[in-house]
Amino acid sequence: MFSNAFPERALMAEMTAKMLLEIDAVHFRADKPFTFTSGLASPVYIDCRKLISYPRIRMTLMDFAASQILRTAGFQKFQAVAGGETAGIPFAAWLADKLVLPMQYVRKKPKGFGRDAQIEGDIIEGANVLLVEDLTTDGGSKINFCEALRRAGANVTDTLVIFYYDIFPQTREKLKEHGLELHWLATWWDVLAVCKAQNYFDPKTLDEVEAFLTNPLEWSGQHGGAMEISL
Amino acid sequence: MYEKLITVMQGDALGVQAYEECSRIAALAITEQTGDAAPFLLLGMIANRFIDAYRDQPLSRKTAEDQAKRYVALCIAFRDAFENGSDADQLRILNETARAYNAETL
Repeated sequence: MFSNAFPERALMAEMTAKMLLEIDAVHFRADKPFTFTSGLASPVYIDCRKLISYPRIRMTLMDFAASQILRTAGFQKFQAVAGGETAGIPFAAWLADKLVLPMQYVRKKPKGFGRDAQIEGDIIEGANVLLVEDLTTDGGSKINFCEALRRAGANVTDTLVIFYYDIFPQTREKLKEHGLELHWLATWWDVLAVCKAQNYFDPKTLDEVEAFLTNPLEWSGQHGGAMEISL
Repeated sequence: MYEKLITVMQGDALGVQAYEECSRIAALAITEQTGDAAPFLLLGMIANRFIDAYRDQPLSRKTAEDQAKRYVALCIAFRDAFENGSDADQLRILNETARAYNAETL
């Protein structure tokens, strides 16, 4: 059950960043960049799925998530929590448990045979559903999941992620255009701040990471990746 | 349609979204270029396998570039076989590609 603690947002962001670093979920690799789904070359990669293996960390993060949602969206706003396949499902389950709410999950695509279901679990027509995923970069998957939930009769106005990249200003605007308010616990900027304060990684790597976070398209272009992406 | 696939894979955006585009092109080609349905089915399957493998996993730049080169080479081989090759050439490349797909070496 939710502990009814409401830490300051900045403290939650800093602690979330520290937890992600502690379990080696954060990867910085400027010399051999990663390629995002959009084709963007990036020196950063985060694996939020590792969080499920650390009970004290995941419990703390779910307390943070509940605190964030209750404070910013309201105590009685949601009648259910839905997880996006695959990484969002455990977090949605734990958060639904904490908020004492029903849960569903959303597939990326309908199964294509049998019941052809895209939503698993019972949706109450018109119920306010909070969409949960592990992270968001450009918000694209949130919109797909949200549309699937709406087609099934849910009312979806808010989405929560553990980690928000916060490198494209258009992301939140695009979500707003689709009637979605984004909630998150930490961003790359929070991770970078902790790295600088606690001397994680060498200064050159952190400079590269900051250059990418400041201008991701330019950094990508200079490292062989896409110079423009559709947001 | 082979040229469209090659153009996508010769761009600088070689992430999962590029393969989603290839999957769409291949599916359309199966219905529009019916004599080449088999190669486009295989090209679609290869694109979909890449999407499944890397949608939620880190993809290095080198892996992305290497896979794009293999995909382009395969498109060119199919195009040449189905535009100018003999029936035996076409059957050979279909079988070779299917075997490589099954062995997960593509």
